[in-house]
Amino acid sequence: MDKKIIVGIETHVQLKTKSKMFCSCSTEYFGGKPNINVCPVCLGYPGALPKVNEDAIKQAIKVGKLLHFKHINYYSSFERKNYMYPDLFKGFQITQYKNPIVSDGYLEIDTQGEVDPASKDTNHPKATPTHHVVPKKINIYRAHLEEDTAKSLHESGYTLIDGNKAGIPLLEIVSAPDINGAAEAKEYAVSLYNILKYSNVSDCDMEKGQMRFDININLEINDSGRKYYTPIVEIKNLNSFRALERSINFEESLQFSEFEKNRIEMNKGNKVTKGWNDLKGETVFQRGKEESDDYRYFPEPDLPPLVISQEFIDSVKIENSAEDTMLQLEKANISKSSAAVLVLTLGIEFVKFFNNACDIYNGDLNNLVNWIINDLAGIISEHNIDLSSISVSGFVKILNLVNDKKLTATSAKEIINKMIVEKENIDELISSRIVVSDDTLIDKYIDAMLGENQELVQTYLNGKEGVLSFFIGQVMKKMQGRASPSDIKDKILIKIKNFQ
Amino acid sequence: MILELHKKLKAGNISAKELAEEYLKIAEDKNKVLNSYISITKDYAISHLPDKIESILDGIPGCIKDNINILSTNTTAGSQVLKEYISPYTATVISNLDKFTLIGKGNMDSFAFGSTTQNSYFGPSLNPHDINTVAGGSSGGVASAVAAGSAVFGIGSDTGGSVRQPASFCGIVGLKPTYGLISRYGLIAMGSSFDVIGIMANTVDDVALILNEACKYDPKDSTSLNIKKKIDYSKFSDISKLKVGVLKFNDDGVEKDVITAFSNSIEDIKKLGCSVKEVVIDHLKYVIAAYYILVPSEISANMARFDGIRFGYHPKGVKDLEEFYIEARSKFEDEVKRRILIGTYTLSSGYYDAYYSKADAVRRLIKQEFDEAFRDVDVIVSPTSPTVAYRKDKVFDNPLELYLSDIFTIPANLIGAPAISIPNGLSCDNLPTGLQIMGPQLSELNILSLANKLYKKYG
Repeated sequence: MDKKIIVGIETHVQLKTKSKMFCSCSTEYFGGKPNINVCPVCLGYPGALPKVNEDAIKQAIKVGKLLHFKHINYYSSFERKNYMYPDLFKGFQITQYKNPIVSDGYLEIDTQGEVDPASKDTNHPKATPTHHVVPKKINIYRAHLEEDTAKSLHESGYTLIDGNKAGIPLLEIVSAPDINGAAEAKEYAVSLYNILKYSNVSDCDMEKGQMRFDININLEINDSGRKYYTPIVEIKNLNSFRALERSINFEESLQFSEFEKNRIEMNKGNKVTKGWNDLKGETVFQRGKEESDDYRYFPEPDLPPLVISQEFIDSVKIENSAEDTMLQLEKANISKSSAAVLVLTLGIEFVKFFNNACDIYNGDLNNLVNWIINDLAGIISEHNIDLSSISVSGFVKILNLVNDKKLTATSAKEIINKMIVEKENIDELISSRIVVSDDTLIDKYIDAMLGENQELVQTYLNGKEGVLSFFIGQVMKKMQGRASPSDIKDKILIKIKNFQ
Repeated sequence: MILELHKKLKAGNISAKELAEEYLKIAEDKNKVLNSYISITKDYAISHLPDKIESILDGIPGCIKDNINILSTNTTAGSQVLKEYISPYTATVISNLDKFTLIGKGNMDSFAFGSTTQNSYFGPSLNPHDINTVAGGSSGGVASAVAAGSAVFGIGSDTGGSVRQPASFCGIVGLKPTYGLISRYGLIAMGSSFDVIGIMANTVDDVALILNEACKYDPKDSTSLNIKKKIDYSKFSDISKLKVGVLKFNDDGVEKDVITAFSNSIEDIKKLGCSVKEVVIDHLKYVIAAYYILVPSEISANMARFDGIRFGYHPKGVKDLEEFYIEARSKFEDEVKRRILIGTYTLSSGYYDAYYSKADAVRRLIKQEFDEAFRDVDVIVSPTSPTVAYRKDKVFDNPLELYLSDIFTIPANLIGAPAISIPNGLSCDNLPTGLQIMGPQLSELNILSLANKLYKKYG
């Protein structure tokens, strides 16, 4: 029996806006006092009416552009989705059901294929010797606007409700069931995360619930020339890439073994809803189709249809697109793998830092990127320092001195570290480490070192060339990095001959 | 009446305080019998008096239906559920009326579901013309107060006739404006796509003056109309060339005195010089069915927020969430429960297409038919209600009997058009009958002008 796993993902993303979806309350809901950013509208008080937040519409249009949506709809509408729960204040959620704001998009992801010698893409950062990267289009049916619920806290027999989160704008992005497996699901989710975060559509902080996934999953099983489909399982509320991957893997083997046992195929009535238990690493049954909610959708009478013009759509600009930035970096001959780290892993702030640095940097831009992604980013994350506090000109000044051979790379690293962590004055640091241009001075240090290590010199001359790096290190240390290791090496090699 | 009072207040012939006290006194006296008010807001009135008289409504005594929020007043919507509820904000329409004097909050059928005020948790409001009859509903308290003279004007809400029918029963003027002309922000919703704030007063002049103040575009209500050209509704237009349509209706169930009064009105209209022609609306027989599917559907969602968690009746000592909900929602009055159940049913999966979708289609057809009719005529007249005020002990066989009496008022709500009810005579029991004048959207000036001419004749 062959099996193919079929997954569709519904991604809920909190849109980054100043105020809520249907009122002017602040969207600051995390960490503050409960129930401070609330009003009659988001609390669902009698008589209060919703008003659509234009910034949320703009963010949705941005997503429409970023995810190649064919239709950014001039006409979309809101519906009420009815269900009773204490954290849903109005007793219904305002959402877009029949006519979403954008429809028919896609996201291209990288999937791993086996190496085909004819079309080997070894350049790609994710390619491996046995696998190459195959691009794959994941179709996205639609994305629609809705509102988040309040937050319930269950404490010592009570349920406490915090309304600060009630009414935060959400965009639900619904993919086609084009995703075949956990790896692709993760790739899709990570790409979505990168794109949305980079373009400032959402902070996508999954710990805060700003991005979460519901998935629909089943298997296509090929047995003796016939295709079977296992019952669809919906897994709700996955809060991390890891949970997404693990739940798919778990469900894949579960559905396969169940099919082997009972050979039950999908039908209209046997879809079930499950949750994910992260501790146990398993999916947990929640309810079957017959117990599923009837949401009784109907048009939201308090909101006229949302009509937007082409001019309005055109006025929404994508200031930063991860895709565009990657292309620009490619044009500047930055290696794909470094660009991917800079744009996708480190993000927009680092790209801005890079762009500012470019203007004054005097060397190969690949080196600049490497300094940023290897050294700068490392120090910053290790010491939890804010990138905006770091002087671009100071940073570049140090690197330019390296390019001019006035500082060694070792010194530069040390100075950068001290500049960032200890906020030391870089001019003093530089002047004490500037490369010694006086050859006779370097010679003096080498002579002294060789004099102190005569036994090792003999060892070297006896053929153990490994000690050479020790010699270099000793001189570097004495000179506090003020000469380049290669210069020192050359000079030592000449001098050591004299000992023979 | 408002203009005269305004002049007196402005000239200092009477102070706002004296006027407030006078009306509060009448309200307190009459309320013992009529039960027009759920609360008489004496302290509020006295502490909110205008320092000086500027705007036309400053210091004018008014009664506000108790489903309209006014900051820090008790707003019950006529229901036990909100018996103790204090509004945390003020409805836009109230802010628009400047410094009028709030005499009290008018009694109403619970959540405005009804047409007798007998669904009020606080008991029915009675009709000042005959205290053995009801004031009508759902804005019956307001109509009763205005007719009894304990308020100069009243603000109600009209979802299917709730301003016009009690106005007709109590012999006063009641206007249901175009949907969206007056902001709904702060009105406790019934059927959101039907609800409008309506105006009640003793004269058409007064209604027009209040409309001038009440209708401002409100960004807080997304269905509020943003009309660039400001109209002065108190400057009535010439109606002698008006083309008046007379609605053809089935006489069954329409009282003889109502028909007589209506026939007399048509003669009067002719005498004003207007041309008169019959208007047939083929789908008229479906309006009640469509209305009583669509409105409960919206109600079922609008009532969900009354879960007892954040405001209103809050159950104590229950063991879990389900018991909490059951207890909280058991406090709804019977008619509220009935409409929530109907609406939940008509929206349910498998029934939506058979009920909600069909009713919505009927609504569109009726709109088309009226649009068509309004190409030929400027206004359409009919009785406001098939009957005069019911006796307070009248027993209805089933709720449907009462629903059917909304036949003349519902079309205006289905299509979002304005309609006014004016008194046009008395029955042999000396109970007022009402004439309804309806026009296409935003034709308030026309219907007010015609109403004013006719009213002057009866007034």
